[in-house]
Amino acid sequence: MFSFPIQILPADVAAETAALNAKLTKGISNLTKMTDDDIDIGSTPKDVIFEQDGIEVYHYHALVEQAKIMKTPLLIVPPLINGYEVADLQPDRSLVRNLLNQGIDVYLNNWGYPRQVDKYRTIDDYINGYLDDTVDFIRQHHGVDKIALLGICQGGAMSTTYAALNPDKISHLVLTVTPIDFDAYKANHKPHEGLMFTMGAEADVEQMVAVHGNVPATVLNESFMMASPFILNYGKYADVIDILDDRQAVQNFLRMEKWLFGGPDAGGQMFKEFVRDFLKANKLVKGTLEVGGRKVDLKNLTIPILNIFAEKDHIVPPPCTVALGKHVGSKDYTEFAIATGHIGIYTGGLSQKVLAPTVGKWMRERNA
Amino acid sequence: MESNNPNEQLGGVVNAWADMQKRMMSDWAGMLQNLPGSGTESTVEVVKKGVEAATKSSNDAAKMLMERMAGSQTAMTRVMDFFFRSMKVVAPNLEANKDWRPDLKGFADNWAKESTAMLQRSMGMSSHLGDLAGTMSKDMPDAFGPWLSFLMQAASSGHVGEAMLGGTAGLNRLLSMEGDVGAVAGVGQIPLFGASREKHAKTLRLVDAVVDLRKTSLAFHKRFAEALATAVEATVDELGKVAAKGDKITAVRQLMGLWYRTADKSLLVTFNKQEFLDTQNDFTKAQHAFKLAQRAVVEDIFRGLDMPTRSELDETYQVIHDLKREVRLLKKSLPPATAAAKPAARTTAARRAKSE
Repeated sequence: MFSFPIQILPADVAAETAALNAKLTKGISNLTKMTDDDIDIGSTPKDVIFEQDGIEVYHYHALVEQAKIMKTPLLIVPPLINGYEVADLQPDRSLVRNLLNQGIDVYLNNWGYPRQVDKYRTIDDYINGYLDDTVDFIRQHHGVDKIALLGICQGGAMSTTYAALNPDKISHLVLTVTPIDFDAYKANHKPHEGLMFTMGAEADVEQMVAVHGNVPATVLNESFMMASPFILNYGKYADVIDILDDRQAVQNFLRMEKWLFGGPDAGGQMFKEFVRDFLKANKLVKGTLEVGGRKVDLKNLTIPILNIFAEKDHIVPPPCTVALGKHVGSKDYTEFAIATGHIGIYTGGLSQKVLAPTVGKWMRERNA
Repeated sequence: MESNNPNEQLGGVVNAWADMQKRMMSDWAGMLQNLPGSGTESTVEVVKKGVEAATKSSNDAAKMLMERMAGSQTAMTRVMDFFFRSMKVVAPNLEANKDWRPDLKGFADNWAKESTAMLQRSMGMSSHLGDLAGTMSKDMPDAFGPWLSFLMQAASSGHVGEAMLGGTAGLNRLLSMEGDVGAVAGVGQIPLFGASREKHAKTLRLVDAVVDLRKTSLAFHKRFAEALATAVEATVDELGKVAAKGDKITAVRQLMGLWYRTADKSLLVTFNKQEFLDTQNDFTKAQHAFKLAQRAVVEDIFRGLDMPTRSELDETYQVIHDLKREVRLLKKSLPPATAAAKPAARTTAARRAKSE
């Protein structure tokens, strides 16, 4: 006979409620005292060295002595559909800071928040326009012919495309949780992997953009949250009660919330083209992608490539990332796995110890 | 005292859950009721207003968290209620060691029928026209209010398309409205309904879009109810595993955790199925089609008032984009010496990032 395992007694519920309320009381007091300064994200010191149409290029202040800084600057290319702060969430969880500590001269392209007036920007505008202008500016600013690129997720796909189109300007390519082959997860499909791609492939993006102009961040967030609807919508907020009395833990939680829910809308035309050409038609690996009338040939990528992926990534499943190895012309292609998830690769505890040191070592070994 | 009777256990848990919710809400309200902004409203309202007042000067993220925590109380209650209700249905056969799945299926079917019937009631034609009126009047001058109210009134007894085209009661209202008092007569003429077949067609497309939206919404909710029933089935299996190990669940949050984790896993499987994706896409497309049809009608009104429409703004945005692009390309084509001067000037003008 089935022995029913639910044994919740009224006395236990009373005790549980009392404990929760004690935490809530303390927590509410903490929450009401928090100001913007307490929940700052993207706080590593930096200068804005170049601006164009609301897109800013940051140059971060060095954290090691000048003599230890590598000669090749590195430009971080964040995704267009998330805030750049994922790379610099808080001082002790910051890819940017960790790279600086490795002696890397770090730049970052903050794509900003597209407005309705920006909705006609194309992938060509972003890659051959804004990204190319940024790369040229940094090359000139530094007096070097080539710079290194580090792409974050969708920014990795853009960096890959850019590097393939401009092999004369890029010396090293570092990719993190980057979607390259959008079909690769289907071969051995697990339900928790690639739901965004599956839904995206089915979506009528033309119509979505016709309605919204720029696709609102809230719409994209809802799609992300479908990967775990109960936990991300309810469970997370029930669990947060346990840490409400810990000011620092709450600050960390809120920084992540601020980043998650404060992201930019996706520029309409860009989103349409990205979903159509990269996701649905998988043109990058099929060799049929054209940007600004120029064919993108991954065989042109003959530079050193470091492709880093997250083993537990359900948003960009690892097979979609590591597929790059089959398509590039580079003889110096390295893969590196971190036992974490798609966001954890930037913000997780393990990654703080592993990600930047791996990039630093890899760049030093290649005379960067 | 522990009980092995699932019926008794669940009865106790349901009561405990309800009690916990009541206490939590009441304690939230107690904590917040003395803050400015709270009054003599219901507990939920007190919590809502209290959260608003308590976080008035705090950070946006903190404010959002408070709102989400307060909001999730209600949402969690709904989700847990579904779970407890379904568990109560399966309990008798669990106790008798019989197959409980047919009971659960029956419960899910009923639940889907109940929720879709509720949706049907809330998604009646006049409600949609009310939404349309709300959306339109939000961004439009007050002058539109009377005209929109009239449209709602004209359509309230039946199909809005009939009101526009046929000899129905709605049309009578329409005609009487056109001849009505001066305050609204002018407004009524603005969209020139009744004067143009093209405008009629747009209104009919809007009505079609509403009907499609209603149909696809119901289909989606039915599909979602089935998905939840499957999730409950998976949770009962998980409870079986807990029992087999000799473990017990002694806290409400422990049970919530098990239900959320299991339901999420189960839902993911459903979300990946082609039939679910198709239903979801039909619903999304219908929502978009409704918005586009709504815009077409609104734009007619705007044109009538010589106000810029979304389509006209889009044309302007396209021109601005093309011009910016040309400027960028022209800058790039400048000789290197001149081109180099530009970024240097920007470096000089570099400023500290806001976050510093």
